Amino acid sequence: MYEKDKTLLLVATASAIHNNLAVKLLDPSRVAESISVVHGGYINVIPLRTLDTATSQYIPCSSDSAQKYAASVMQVMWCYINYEAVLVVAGSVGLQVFDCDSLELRFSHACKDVPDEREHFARGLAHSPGDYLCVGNNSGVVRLFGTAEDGSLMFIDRKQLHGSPVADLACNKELLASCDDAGNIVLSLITPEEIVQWADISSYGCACTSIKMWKGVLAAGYGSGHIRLFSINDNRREVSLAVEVAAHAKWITALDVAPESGFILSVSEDSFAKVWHVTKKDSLTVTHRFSTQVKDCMLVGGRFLTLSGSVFAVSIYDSNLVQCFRM
Amino acid sequence: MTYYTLPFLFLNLGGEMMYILDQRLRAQNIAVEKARKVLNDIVRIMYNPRFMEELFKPQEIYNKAALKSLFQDLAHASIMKLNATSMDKLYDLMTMVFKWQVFTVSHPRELILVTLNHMDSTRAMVTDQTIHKQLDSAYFMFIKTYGQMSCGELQRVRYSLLNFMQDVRIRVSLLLRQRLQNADGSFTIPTQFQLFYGSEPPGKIRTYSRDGIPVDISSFYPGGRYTVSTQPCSTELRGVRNTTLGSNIYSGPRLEEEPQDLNYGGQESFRKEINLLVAQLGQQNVPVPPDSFSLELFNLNDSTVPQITTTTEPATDSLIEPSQTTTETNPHAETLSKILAEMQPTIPKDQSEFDLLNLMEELN
Repeated sequence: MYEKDKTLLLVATASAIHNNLAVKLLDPSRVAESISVVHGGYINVIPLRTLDTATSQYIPCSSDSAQKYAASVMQVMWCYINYEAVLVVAGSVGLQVFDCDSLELRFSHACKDVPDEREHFARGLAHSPGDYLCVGNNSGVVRLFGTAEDGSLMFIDRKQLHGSPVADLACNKELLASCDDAGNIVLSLITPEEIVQWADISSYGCACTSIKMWKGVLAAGYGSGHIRLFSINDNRREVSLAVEVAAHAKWITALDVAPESGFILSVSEDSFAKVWHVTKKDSLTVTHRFSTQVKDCMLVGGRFLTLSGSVFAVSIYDSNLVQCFRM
Repeated sequence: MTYYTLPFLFLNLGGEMMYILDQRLRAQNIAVEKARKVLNDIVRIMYNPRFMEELFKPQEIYNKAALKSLFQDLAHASIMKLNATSMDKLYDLMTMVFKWQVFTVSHPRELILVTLNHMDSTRAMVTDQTIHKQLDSAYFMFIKTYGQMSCGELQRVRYSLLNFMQDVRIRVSLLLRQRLQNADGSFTIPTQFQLFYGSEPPGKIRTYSRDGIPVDISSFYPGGRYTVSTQPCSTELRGVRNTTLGSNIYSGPRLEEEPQDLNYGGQESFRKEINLLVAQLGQQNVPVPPDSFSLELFNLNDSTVPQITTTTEPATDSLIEPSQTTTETNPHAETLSKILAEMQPTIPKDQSEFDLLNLMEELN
């Protein structure tokens, strides 16, 4: 179904963190412009479109030289804030929002809920329409940021949604899903004033590493190698397990959804990248569509590069290569 | 970086160091008494109670150079000496084998068992009862810290270890020969292996009705052959670990008897690494590569002779002041204080993050 496509070269190797591949795929584009992969406290940004004049960038998350050495980035996301494309970074420095082109720091927030001498990092990023930005941290707290009248970002609310470090966030309209290291998932509503929790999915015993949401479906990847799909009923505020896939032999490190086709991509430490097809009639069904082994590669990130899911890319721990696959 | 990474790093690298030293001491028919003294001395200092206490305090991961110098000092804690090149080889080997173990575990919890394997083997190597007590108390500290951690937390510790050893890709002949490592230094990921106890092998898709009742189950080919361990792993003091990772990989057939014509990508140095260690540990009849050096091993009679044998020896060694460190009545105190003396110049004066080293300094 997919074939090996080009290989992209990073400036420095990918670190072992979940979801270690982000794509810049912003409206109205249907194809990713760039990808980013984290190396310690640095972000490799690689442009994908050959016609672009843009070149590869290697961005430190902190300009402070002492911090630069010790800092680590946990997650990266591109989105629009106030009609401008920004690069959002979560990590040991907290939340940082950079201008996409000039890389000027627009906004930062420590997102910190522990004393100074304790370990701290922000992890989990999501963007909701209306320019809301959600950020999780290792204390299990999720923060909501919005735009002030002058277009700048401002803090709105913080909620202790989890008892363990937040692993990933996903937004679909005003609905926010957050998952944690203990495997719990929480669903909340984003309002202009606050985050309101309305449902939770208790743990299946292993960490939930990556979540995605689209069309009333929540897809979650687990450390146990399982993918679980939950149907969300907005009106009745109900959420129920619809499909459980024993997908991988090792930890699932990233999950992605292609909204136009209903494809799900899962990548794992077991060196496999797999594509699943989700259909929704009376109930949700999942079929296994494609599987490829990236030999001897511990995959740490994977994303579709198109909205249709026709191309995807995977990043590899300790390797400076990103492998692409094309339909 | 995770604040709970250092104990894993230290205990496992320490365990690997003991395997290598033990193997080399045996292979060269070093007198049993001397070999035993070397192992006992090193383990006694490695598991020093105050040092352990400090080690288990939550802290940022060690600076790489500081960690290496700590092991360098440990390796020299007894009557055996290694020069800079052999120390480099020793450290590279320890690091790569541990990296392979961290990379290969099928479940983050296996990392605890890997560490316990190292501690169990270390216990079996030493004969002194007081050291066994030290190991016991280290075991309890370890289990207290990590026994209750969720697999998500342990996975973060594991990733922190992998990121600490990121970009270190030294080829190890032992791993290459067993096809556990590729010629580019990366590790292999098998598609046939045993999953951790309690896991589910991939291959099934289960569909549920709205009421949570299973309505359909289908299968797919998972891309490999995976079985699940039927035995739970024990983290008890004398339990069955049920994993071979972290056990002694050098205890198989003697390495110097391996065929010499194996070609590891044309780089002879990797084939030589073990033999080099052999030579450095003092065996006479092993061919010594032309770029090697002499080593004063088991220099019992004259401990004040500087151990510098090449110009590349770290300058720190020349700063040892034997008059300060010699305590004839207590060989343990002697070796310990010697370590401390060696450590002092390696402590960056302006950094507070080296609490562990500072403590060792205080002990002096």
